[in-house]
Amino acid sequence: MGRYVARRLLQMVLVLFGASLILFVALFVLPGDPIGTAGGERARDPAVRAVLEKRYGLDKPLPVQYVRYVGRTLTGDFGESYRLRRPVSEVLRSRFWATAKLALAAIAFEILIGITAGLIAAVFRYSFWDVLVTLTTTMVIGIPTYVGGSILQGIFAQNFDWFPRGGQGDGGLDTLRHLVLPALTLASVDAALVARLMRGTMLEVLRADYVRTALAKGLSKRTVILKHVLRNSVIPVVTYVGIAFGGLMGGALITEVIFDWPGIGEALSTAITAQDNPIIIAVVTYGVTAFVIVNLIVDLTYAYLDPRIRLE
Amino acid sequence: MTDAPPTINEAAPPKDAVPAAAFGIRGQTQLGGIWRRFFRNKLAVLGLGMVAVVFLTAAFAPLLAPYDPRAQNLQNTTAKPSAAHWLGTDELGRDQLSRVIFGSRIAIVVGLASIVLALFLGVILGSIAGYRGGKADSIVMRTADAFFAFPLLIGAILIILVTGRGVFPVILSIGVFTWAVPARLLRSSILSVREAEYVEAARSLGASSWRIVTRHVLPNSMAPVLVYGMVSVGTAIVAETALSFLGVGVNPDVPDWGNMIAAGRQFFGFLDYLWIYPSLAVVFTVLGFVFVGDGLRDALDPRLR
Repeated sequence: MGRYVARRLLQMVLVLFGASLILFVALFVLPGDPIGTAGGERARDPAVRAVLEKRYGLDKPLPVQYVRYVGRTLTGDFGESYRLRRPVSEVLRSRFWATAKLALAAIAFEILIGITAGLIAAVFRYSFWDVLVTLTTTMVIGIPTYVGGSILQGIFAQNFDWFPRGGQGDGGLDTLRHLVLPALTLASVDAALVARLMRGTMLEVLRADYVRTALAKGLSKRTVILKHVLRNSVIPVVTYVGIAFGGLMGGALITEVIFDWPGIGEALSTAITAQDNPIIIAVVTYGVTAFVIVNLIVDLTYAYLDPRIRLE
Repeated sequence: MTDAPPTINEAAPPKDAVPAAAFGIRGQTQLGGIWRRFFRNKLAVLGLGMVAVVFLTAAFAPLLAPYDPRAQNLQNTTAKPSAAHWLGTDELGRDQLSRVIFGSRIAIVVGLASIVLALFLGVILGSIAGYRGGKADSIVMRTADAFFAFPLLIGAILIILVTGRGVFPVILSIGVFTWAVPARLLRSSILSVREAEYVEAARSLGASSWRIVTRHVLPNSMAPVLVYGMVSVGTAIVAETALSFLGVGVNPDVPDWGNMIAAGRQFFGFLDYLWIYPSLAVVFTVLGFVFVGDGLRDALDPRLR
């Protein structure tokens, strides 16, 4: 396991290096005029432009700029938000926790709803419930986040007034109430995919020899399903939930906009409208880093659960 | 390129062979089997119908739309659906139905073009990685890993920040952050085909690498890539509308479903028809592609069911 972890860590460093190159090329090398955008009228004067380029280090050769960019990324120094005139790290800190809360709640929904639905569909194969689960999941997969969110909001916040329409609430139970609709929205597509995956894997496991043996020994169907089948069917689900994390981040971007959830995605959306580049760069960089780290954790968990992976 | 000698599967049948029809057996081709399995799947056929409707709508949009989708009428803004405007008018008095109809054009163009771009890049790089192996393989796959680190929407936003909004930037950004998946699929598929006997046979007959890859390896390893392509047209359309929804997609005056939903949401709760109809159009289109993609997957590889 130790060697596997070391190899994966090395791979992650490589991936982050590659990703940082892509980011750097997009932001610093490709034509674009950050000084003109940020400086406005003043930047037309070549003298002012030279001063600004010097201050932001844009006059240095590209490799030097790249090292500076990586160094500042590692120390979390993304400069000052153009719009808010506060350090980017300070602006994003509280946002980060809001997004983390939303993502965790969504993953909880994904696992809870997905596994339960998939389990019911597999155990009662071809029954009314199975058909219901299959039809619902197929429909939900075709509904984009921004449509699903609007629909949930329309029904449960606007029509029935069961849940608030948006915002974060003021802590404790109120925040939980505010969390339900955005988390459900964010979880919907992945919950449907988890349910499909769970159904497929479980049907396969149900045919396994050890399941027949367990039933032949006289164990109740309930025990066999909960003790033998369930445990062996959740491994692909664990991997899937990890892989889906990237989509979750894209989805969080939209979900947060729809429900005014004060997270990273909402900050990014505001920054895009305001052309607040430091915030955009920070969010994209952190988003990519978080995605890579989560993928690593998933792979390691998977290797821990299934020793064969490590030998690959 | 000189003509390569005939390969084994191109050889003519022996002269004394009795045609299968003499035994009352109908010939079965690989492609025929795929079609039959596809058309037996009701959902797949339904999906094909839905996709066809969207295609026809996009093709004949100017004939179908009752009004110019960009014509504003400030005397008649946010009108409720009526006989004159079946789906009502938006905040600038533009006819919603016409905009929904013309929106199909952006969706289809971006959905297809971005996936064609992704497949083009993915097939070239994936076959180099898979067939050449070695250093080329490492370079291509590590590059793919780096692109994998970007969630699609975040990567796309990054590109659009550089290029500015527009149809072409959206196509480019989705394609550039999607190619890694087909490249990976094709590579692993080629790895299993590369050592097959018919490839070895072709090689021993002196066929060039180009011929082996294009004639023998690709036709036998493209299935997963094509299925992926079909399903991801839906994903690309979702991404395109999501980008427009966030204000970084096609230009705001373009009749586009994402733009319409974003604009309509300002009237959430009292003029809901402004976002519901374009939403229905998106869901209809995406579901169509999902059904076709699923059906194609099942038809190509019945074991995956």
